[in-house]
Amino acid sequence: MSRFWEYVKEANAPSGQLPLVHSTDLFFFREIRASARLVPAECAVYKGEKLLYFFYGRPSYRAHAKLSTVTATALLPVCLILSRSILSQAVRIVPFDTGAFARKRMHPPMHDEMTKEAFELALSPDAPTKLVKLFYGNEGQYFHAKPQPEIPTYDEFEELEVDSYFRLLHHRSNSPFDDRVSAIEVQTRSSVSLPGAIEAAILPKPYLDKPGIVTQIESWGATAIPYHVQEEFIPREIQGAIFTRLTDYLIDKKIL
Amino acid sequence: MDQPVSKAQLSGVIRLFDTDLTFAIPVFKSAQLTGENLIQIIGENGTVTGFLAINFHEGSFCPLSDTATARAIGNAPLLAFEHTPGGFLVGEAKDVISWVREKLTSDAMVGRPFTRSALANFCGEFGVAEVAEMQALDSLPPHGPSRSYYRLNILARDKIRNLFEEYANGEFPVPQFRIFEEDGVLRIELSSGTDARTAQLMKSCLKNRADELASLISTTGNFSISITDKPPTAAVAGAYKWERRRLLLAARRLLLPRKKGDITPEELVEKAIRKTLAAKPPLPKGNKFFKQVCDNMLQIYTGYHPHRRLRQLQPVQSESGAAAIKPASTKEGWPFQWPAFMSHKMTAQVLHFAGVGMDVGDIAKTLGVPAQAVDVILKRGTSPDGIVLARHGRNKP
Repeated sequence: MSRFWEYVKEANAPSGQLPLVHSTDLFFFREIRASARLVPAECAVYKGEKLLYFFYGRPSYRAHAKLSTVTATALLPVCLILSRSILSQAVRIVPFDTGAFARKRMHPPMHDEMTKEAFELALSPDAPTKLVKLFYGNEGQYFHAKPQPEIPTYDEFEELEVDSYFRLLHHRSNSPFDDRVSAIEVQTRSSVSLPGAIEAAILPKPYLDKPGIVTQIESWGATAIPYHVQEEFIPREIQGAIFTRLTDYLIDKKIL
Repeated sequence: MDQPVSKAQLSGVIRLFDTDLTFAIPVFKSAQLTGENLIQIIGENGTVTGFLAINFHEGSFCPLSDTATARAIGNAPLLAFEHTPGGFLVGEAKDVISWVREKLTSDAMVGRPFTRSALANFCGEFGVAEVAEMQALDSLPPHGPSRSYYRLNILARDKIRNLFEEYANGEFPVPQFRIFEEDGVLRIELSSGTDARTAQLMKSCLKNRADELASLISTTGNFSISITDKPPTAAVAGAYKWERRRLLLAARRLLLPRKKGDITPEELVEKAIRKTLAAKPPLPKGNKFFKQVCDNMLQIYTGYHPHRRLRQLQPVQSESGAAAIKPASTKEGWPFQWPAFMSHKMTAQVLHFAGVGMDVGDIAKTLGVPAQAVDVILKRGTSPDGIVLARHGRNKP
C-alpha cells in the first residue's frame, strides 16, 4: 500500500455519510437513460483501462481537457448523486483528480517525480472517511473544501506525500467551485445499474419539460432536482447553482 | 494560449439542449488563434473580458451563415437563443429579451412550464415566472419524491432565500436551513452556526411575509411557520447536536486568552454560557445534565484553583455515569504552556463526559489544541479505568 495510506489509515474516523457524485452532460445522459447504467469508458489517464469515475461527496468536474480550454460538458452538466455502497466496487480511490494530476495541474506543491499511485488509498469503504477525518476534520468541512489548519504530526522530511498533499489543500483557492484538485476520486471497472443506486439527479431546469424524464428518474428510485441555467453559460455560476442544489439536498438528508 | 485573444468573429453556436426555445452558446473564431473554437469569458461587470477555447461533442455545433458579428474585450456579450428548431437569434441581452418575451405566451410554451419559468425570469417577467413555477409543480408526478422536493426544497426554499435577502437588505447572509413540513406546518430549522441576530431577522421576515409562501404549503390556507434552532428528532438524546456545538463554542470562547479590552475572560465565559442557555427554549428533562455541565464549567473556569477544579469535576462524572475521573501524579516536564494546556485538556474531558459524542482527542483538536498536545492527551490522559487528569506541581491558577 502507498506510504500516504500508511499515514491516513491511522485516523479513527466515524462512518461516512456523503454520497458519491458522477458528473456528466446531457449528451451522455441520453445514453445513460437508454441503458439505465453508468458504463466505464476508455481512460486517457490510465491508458488501456475502461473506468468509471466518481467523486466522493462533491460535484466536481473534469471540465478542462487542457489548460485554457473548457469542454461544453462543464457548461450544462448533469450531476448524479449515487449511493456510497458503490465504494465497495472501487478499484482505485485517490485523494485528488487524477486527470488534473496527470496534467501537472497540482505541481507544485506536488513533486514532479511523485506518482499518483503513491497517493492511492486502500480499497475500503471507510478509506475516504479516514482521509476526510485527518485532513478536514469532518465531512461538512470536506464538502465545503475547508481543510484543517493542522494535522497530526508527521515527519515532513520523510513523509513527503503527506506534506505535499497537505500543502496542496492549502495551496490553491479551494473554493467549492475550484475544488477538483482536492476532491476524492473513486474509480470502478464495473458498470453501475442506476435503479437502486441513484439517489437524485440534478439537471438543467428546462430539461425537466422533456416528457418521461422525471418519471424515468423516479422509476430508478431517485429524485429529479432542477438547477437554474445561466443564459450566458458562465461555468463558475453554473457550478455554483449545482453546488447550491447539492448542498440543499444534503441538508435535507441531514448529512450536512 | 500564447497570446490573449482580444477580438473574435462569431462563427456559430453550440446547441446544448436538443430542443428549441432554449439558449445556446455563441462560438467565435479569431485570427489570433487559428483552429480553435472560442467562447466569451464574461466578467463580473457583465462585459466580455476575454475568450476561451472550447471542446464540444461532434454534431452539437451549428455554423451560422451571418457571421459578420464580432466581439471584443469590453463589449457586451452575445447570447444565442434557439427560437425555432435549428433557428438561432444571436444578439445582446437587451435584444434577446425582447425576442424571448414574445415567446412567453406562444403556443410553443404549452406543456413546457420549466422552460417558461426560466425564460420569464430572464425577461424580468416575475409574475409570469411564478405562475409557470406552479404549473411546473403540477406537471411533476403526483406522488413521486420529485414533486414534494421541488415544492419544499426548490420553490419554498428559493422563496425564503429571496425574502430574507430582501428583508435583510443584503446586510446579512442567508443562513443555511432545513425545511420540512409536518401536519401542514412548514418548519424551518436554522443551521447551528446561525447567530441570534440572523435568526431573529429570519423569524420576523417570515412572520411579515408568510402570505407569500401560502401557495407552496400543501394544506393551503391554514398553516403556520415555526423556526426551531435544534433538530427535534434528537431531543430524546439529552444533548442535541446543536447544543454540543454551542457547548464547544462556549468552551472555545472560555479559553480565549485574557484581553486588555473592556471584557474579562470570566465575563466572556459567563456571557457565552448564559447566551447559550438563554437562547434555548425551556429545557426538557434530558437537558438537566447539559445545564449542570454549563454551570459547572462556569464555576470551574472562573476562579477555582486547579486542584479545586478537579474536585468540581466529580459531580459531572457521577452524573454522567462515566468512568472515574481522578488526578494523576505525572511528574514529567511538559513541552507546553502548562495552564493553557491544562485548561484545554480539562475542557476536552469535561465535554467528553458531558456527552459531546466525540473522543477527547477530537474535542481537544476542535478547541484548537496543537496536534502535539493532543497526542499527549491521548497517550497520557487515558487509562483503562477512565480518563486521568494530570496534575503538576508548578500549576498555578
